[in-house]
Amino acid sequence: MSAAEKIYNILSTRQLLYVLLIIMVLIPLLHPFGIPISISSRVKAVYEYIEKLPDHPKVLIEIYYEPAAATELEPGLGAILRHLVKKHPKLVFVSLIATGPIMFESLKRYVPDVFKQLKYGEDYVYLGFLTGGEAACASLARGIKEFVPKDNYGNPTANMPIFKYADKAKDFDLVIIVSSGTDVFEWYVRQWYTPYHVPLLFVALSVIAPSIEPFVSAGQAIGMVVGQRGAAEYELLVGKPGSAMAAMDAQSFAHGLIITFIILGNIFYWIIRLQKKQAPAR
Amino acid sequence: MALSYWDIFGVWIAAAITVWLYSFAFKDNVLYKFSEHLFLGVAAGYSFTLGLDAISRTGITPIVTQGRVEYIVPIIFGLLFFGKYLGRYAWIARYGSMFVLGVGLSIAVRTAPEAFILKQVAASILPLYIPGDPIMSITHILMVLIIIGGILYFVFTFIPGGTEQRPTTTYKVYDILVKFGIYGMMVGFGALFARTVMTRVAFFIGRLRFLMGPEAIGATVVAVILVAIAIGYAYMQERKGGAQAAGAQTATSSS
Repeated sequence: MSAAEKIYNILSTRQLLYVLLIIMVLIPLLHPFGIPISISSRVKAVYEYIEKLPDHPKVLIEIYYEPAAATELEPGLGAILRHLVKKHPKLVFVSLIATGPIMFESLKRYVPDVFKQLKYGEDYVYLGFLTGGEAACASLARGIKEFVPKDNYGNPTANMPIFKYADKAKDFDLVIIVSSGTDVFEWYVRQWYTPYHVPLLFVALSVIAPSIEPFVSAGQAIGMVVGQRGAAEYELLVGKPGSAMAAMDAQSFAHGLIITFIILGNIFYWIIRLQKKQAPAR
Repeated sequence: MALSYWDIFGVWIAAAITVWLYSFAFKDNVLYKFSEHLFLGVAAGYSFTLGLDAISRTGITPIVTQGRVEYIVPIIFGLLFFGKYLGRYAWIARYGSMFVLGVGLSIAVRTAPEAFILKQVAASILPLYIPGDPIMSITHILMVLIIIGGILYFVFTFIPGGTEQRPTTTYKVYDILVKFGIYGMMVGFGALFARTVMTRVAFFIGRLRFLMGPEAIGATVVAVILVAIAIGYAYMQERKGGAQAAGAQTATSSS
């Protein structure tokens, strides 16, 4: 076995990559370097859109993610909520996924300053988890009060003041879909944007972005805030750097390591291939 | 805000399960298996309870409080799903599926052509030359070529005349467009992979920050020690198994 093959085999050991990844993530978390980041035009466009919303905007927020995805999605939603709350909004939270109620409680712990400024039933409400997938999404658009007689905590929705302003799809100024999957974005495009032309805003995982990009390009959504990076940019725009901004150094270090492994892997792959080509046939 | 003993207990369980699940990256072990099964059980129980609660709020409550008797129909169709446990009457579950498929399909299809075809086609009709913006012009040209090439690549029934050995002009144009489609898709797959890495790293950062938190760090240390013991034990078992297999092979060959 040649030296190149030995190195190639060592580099291919997954345990080595994992150990190095832990180290590369831990270093910047323990000693942040504060690598500067730029703000993309996409995130800036979302910020400007929300900035131009009228006072007391009516916003529906779909919480469709699991605890694992909270690291990528919660900071983005948190930063947007911090921005929105300045406009004294009416917020209707809902989940078409079973983990929604856990994530809503987690969100309240993540941005307590936002929820402190809002009164339950008047400024915001959480409808809880609703079964039915796309059918539930369509029913919500036709009328929330009628479809969901009780909220997540068992309170009757009929007498809640918030539904005087925000009940049917046409009442809403914006729908924010925060999701770790692709399906729910498509549901809202089909059931809220296409029939009622309610503006949609996507908060998505980085891996989901290419799948929902066509909706943004076609103007079916006003924009998207993608992953921790998008969240960090929004945190900067709002002027309150949070957990996404703090994770940027670790992201950069980890990506640097993976790029190094890809480059080294390719170099040694080609060296071995050349050596095999040049070696006399046995 | 001070955490209660139950909160701390929850954080410790979460920290231990996180470490044990990540330990699979190094080697399969008993703690990983325990965590995996525990998660599956808890997730199934949780989803079932939440599902019942949602049906109660959006299905049963309107029947009881508003007299919406028509809601009984979907509830009956839903209950038919349990028919699959009735042995020779399992076929009644198909009526539940039929109802769900019918409703789901009709709701999705009524807006799908506009949302997924018309809007997307309209969005791909782009100006190929934008005065004073060469980058955007090139982007638009590439986009149109890749869209046409990508669609052509998946057209299997019609290929213009000629072959690779004797290409006609139409075939050459077709071939170039298809290549644009292929390379465009390759770039797309590359972007998708890069973004997958980004998401996984972000998840990992989140868990690592949780594990290093003041409430969880004690549990993390204990969980890591237990994982080290479990992995060590798994290696020992593997070596013992390997030695026994080698011994058995030697005995077979000598006999």
